[in-house]
Amino acid sequence: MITNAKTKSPVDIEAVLQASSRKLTPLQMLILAVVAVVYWSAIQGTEISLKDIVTGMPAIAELVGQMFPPDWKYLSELGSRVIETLQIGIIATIIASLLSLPLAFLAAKNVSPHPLVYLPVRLFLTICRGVSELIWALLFVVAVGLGPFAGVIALIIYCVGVIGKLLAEAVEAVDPGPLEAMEAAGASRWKVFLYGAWPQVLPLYFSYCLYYWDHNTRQAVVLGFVGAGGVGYALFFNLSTYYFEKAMMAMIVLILMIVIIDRFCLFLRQRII
Amino acid sequence: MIEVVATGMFDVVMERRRVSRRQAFIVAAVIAALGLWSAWGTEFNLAKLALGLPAFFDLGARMMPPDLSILKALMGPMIETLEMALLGTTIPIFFALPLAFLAAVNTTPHPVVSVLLRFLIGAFRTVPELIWAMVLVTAVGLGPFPGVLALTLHSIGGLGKFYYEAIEATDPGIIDAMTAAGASRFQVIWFGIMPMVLPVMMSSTLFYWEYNNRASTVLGLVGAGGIGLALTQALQDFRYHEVITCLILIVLILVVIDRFSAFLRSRII
Repeated sequence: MITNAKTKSPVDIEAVLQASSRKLTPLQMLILAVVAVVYWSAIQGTEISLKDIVTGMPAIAELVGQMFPPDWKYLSELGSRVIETLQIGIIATIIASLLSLPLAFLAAKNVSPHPLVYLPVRLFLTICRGVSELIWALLFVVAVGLGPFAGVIALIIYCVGVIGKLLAEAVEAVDPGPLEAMEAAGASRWKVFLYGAWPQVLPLYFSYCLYYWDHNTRQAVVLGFVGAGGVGYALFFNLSTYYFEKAMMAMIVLILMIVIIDRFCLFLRQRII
Repeated sequence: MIEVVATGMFDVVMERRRVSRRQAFIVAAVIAALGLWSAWGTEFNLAKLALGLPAFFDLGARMMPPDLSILKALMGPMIETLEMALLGTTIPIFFALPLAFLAAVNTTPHPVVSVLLRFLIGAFRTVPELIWAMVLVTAVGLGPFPGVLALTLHSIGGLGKFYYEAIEATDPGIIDAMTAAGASRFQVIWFGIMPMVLPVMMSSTLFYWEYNNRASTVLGLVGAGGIGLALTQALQDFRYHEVITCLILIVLILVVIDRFSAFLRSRII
């Protein structure tokens, strides 16, 4: 027989089990009902229908049929596109990682010179990463015209927002001991950051930069959809002009690129960290 | 004697420092060279920046003030965007979960199954959701439904990878103990592994929900409904006062969702 360790009195197992599987509280029931309604309306709102998939199957089959065989001759033309995509990723990551340094310093609560600086910088970073790169690219294509330049700027803006925020949070999480000691010894805010906080966040900074290089190159592929250069542009152009064999070739190249970058970044990260 | 050893060590330390400095210099030089090469290739230079930024600010100025009268008309597309993200994160769970248990090396029925499914999951994840959406729009027509499907296909890959990595990181002792006690494979998974991986899985699913909300705002670019469609149309018709309203709405909604997701995560873990 099971007894309570403290009182040595026998324990009613049935009662304990019942208490643990007690009925839902009214609040939990309310939450469940709300969730059910949200899902039901979402299913209605997005016009989900299995029928559409079934009737769409021949269209998919036809599309895929037109894509084969891929146009291998087109491969030589894609070479320069691939290089352009890589270049967009590299330059955007380098500039964004440099720009995000001073911004992260201003946006970290513990080293920021003044709350009046901290809040606007935080807001700026939030706006930068608030919309995705594609929307930034869309706007810059309108402002500065088609081409890789618009894509680079779009990636820089988004990336500054993300790296700046992550780095600021890393700086806020550092061990405050060295910072206080330096401040007590009379170091300026800038020196406190440079010699107290910076060595602690350096490995994280490198890891973020590497991660966002990977991310930027992937995104550079898609940015072509809105006219910002690279392989994505070739894919989009060929799909919308019904050159499906060429589009297939572009898609194969694109997937290969993403896989190789993925592997390469994994390798670099293991080497560095 | 001690002095000699000390100076010897000093030399070693200085030598190491010289080597690491040289390595850092080489890495920096390589990065700088790559940067210059890329700047040249993408025609990214200060002159262009000097021309481009004023053009962008000019565009921004033309967007002001935001046209708030269309807020009411934007509510429909905005809700559609959120619905696409919600379903595009929920539906893949039902596919990713069984796939992950079949693909994780410690629960797979056969190593060959594991390798094949990992390849499949990788393929789903590699294709960006925008490309899925483009292909699906041609197949099932314009509207939010191809958007849901595109997010679903991409998320099966993303969630599947997170899930099988979580399963593989579980403590093998519990599985061994349960198997030794005669538990069936299903019992091991349901009572042994699931309780351990559930918090990690919920957290990564929330992460994907945030990601999908962001992604579903741009799916409209290829005709898959939502606020992205309203934004692109406004931009094509030069209705800049409406563009800025869309942008403000997107930023606000995404910030609210990030906060809500962080709140849910703090409740789970």
